[in-house]
Amino acid sequence: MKTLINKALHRKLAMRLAMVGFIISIVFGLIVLLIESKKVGEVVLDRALQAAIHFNAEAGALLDKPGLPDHDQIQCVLDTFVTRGLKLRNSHYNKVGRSVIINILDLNRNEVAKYIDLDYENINAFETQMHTSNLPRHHNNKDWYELKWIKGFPFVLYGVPLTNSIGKTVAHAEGVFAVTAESLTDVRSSALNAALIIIAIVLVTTGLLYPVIIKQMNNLKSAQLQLIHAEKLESIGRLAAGVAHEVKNPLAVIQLGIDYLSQTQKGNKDVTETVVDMDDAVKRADTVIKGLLEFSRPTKLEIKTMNVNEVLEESLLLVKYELSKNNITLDKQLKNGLPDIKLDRNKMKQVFINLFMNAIHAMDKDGTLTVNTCSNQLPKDLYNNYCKKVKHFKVGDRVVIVTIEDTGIGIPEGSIDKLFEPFFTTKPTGIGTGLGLSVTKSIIELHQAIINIMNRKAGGASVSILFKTKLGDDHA
Amino acid sequence: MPKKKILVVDDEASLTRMLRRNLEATGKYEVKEENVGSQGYATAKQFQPDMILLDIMMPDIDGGAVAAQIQDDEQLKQVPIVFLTAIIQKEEVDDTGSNIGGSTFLAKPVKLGDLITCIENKLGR
Repeated sequence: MKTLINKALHRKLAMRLAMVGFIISIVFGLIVLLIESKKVGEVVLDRALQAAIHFNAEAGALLDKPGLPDHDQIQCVLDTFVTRGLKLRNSHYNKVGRSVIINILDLNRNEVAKYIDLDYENINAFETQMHTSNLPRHHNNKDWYELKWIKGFPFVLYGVPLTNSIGKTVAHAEGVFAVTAESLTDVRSSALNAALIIIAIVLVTTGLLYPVIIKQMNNLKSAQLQLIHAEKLESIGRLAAGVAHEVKNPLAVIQLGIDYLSQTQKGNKDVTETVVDMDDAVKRADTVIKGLLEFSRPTKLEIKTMNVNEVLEESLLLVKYELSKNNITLDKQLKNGLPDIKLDRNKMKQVFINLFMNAIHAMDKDGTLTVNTCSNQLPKDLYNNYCKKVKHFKVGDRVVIVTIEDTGIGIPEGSIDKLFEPFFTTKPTGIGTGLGLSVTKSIIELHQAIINIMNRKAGGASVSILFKTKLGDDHA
Repeated sequence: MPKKKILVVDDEASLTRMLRRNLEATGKYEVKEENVGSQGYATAKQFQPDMILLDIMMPDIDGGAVAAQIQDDEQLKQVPIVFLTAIIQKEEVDDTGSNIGGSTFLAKPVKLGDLITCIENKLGR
């Protein structure tokens, strides 16, 4: 169920991320198009300037004749200019534009000649634009250009001084210059290309970012859960000392009461049996308190270098009676020549005994307890599965592995994640306190080791403990 | 044989009552209860016990402070003190009392038999 929920959450996140990426890319694309479209005028102006310079050079040559020609002659020259200029522009400047109006003015700003492209409607509108233009016009004998959008199309208003071959200004040309569809398309298509490239980049980046974001979210979630868990355990620890004191006093009263009754009511069978039950109950309660105090107390280890097989053998000896009482076969597979590791003997015996007893309780009667030890270099898959979240281990570390397996009932799937939580137990009431594995894990972690519990495919459970053969500086 | 006098100082009245009942039932001990920790020294001075059973965690005063007052008194400094306390565990001490840092401790809950053995060991010295 958890997997399905995770998958649904991932799908939802993926869709949201895709939507955000799509919107960002469209916005960026539109911004690029807007910027590029403004450049249309600049590009056209630039090309118009180039065309006008060339036009001017041609006109200058024709104006070398002494004195200005009369109106008709200028008109004729202008026609020639336009024809040659158009050809020039078309051939050299990739059909940048087309003259709509060209006025030739003398130095006193009298109109000398005019060219009008009658294919354009609203010529008057163009002339009005020319006259209402705000740019300074040939006051200093320089070119001027102004981009105008008329009915959604770009036009260039311009003015150029016409100079003869020795560079003397002899007249002025002013006019309106229409940007051809080809050049407009050319500029717009480059803008569109840029927009599409940006859209593609954003979408690809969004797609690439998705697994990274998911990983970071999972890491954050994991860190939050660990923090909550640590805070929970810390609260339990703080509570434990107070609870222990508050419970032990009443227990002490009850214990003395039991002792008093057992002395004074010796002849009364019912009282005697009752007192026995009460005595057991007090012991059980005291055991829980003991476990709680152990759990809450920071433990200092007494570390010595030793062979883990020795500790296992000593621990097995202590549960020998329980094994035989329940007719459980012991399969010992303790490898010789294991590297020594640093352990607190008593604490590790406590751990092993706790794990053996859990296995025995899981098997009830008959069954096999397998205890295996080996030494390996930590392979990548084992590291990824168990050690990745723990800073002490890295791939290739030499580790000693203790595995304890039983052929019992196994662990309910939903309980595996809770096994190390304080007071969590799968045993019947009265058997165990639910603190054994919590304390076990604390001791394991103090040894900078890792413990993992899982169900065996063949049935029963398997507990693996990985010990580093070399402890870091910060072990307790 | 005169009964040995034992002073029990613990804020838990039901516990001191149980201790008195159990110890007096043996016929060997006369027991005085004191449930206000800060009165422990004054009661000891007045009762002149042969031995003191002293709780550590009390609301008004620490058992160690009471022990210090008693040990500063010339008349009482030879009286053996056993700390009967909930803040240690049975596994940290012997059932019949352990010497930790020069003081004797018994862990609660304590069985009567273990308590009497401890008392007799102390009084027998």
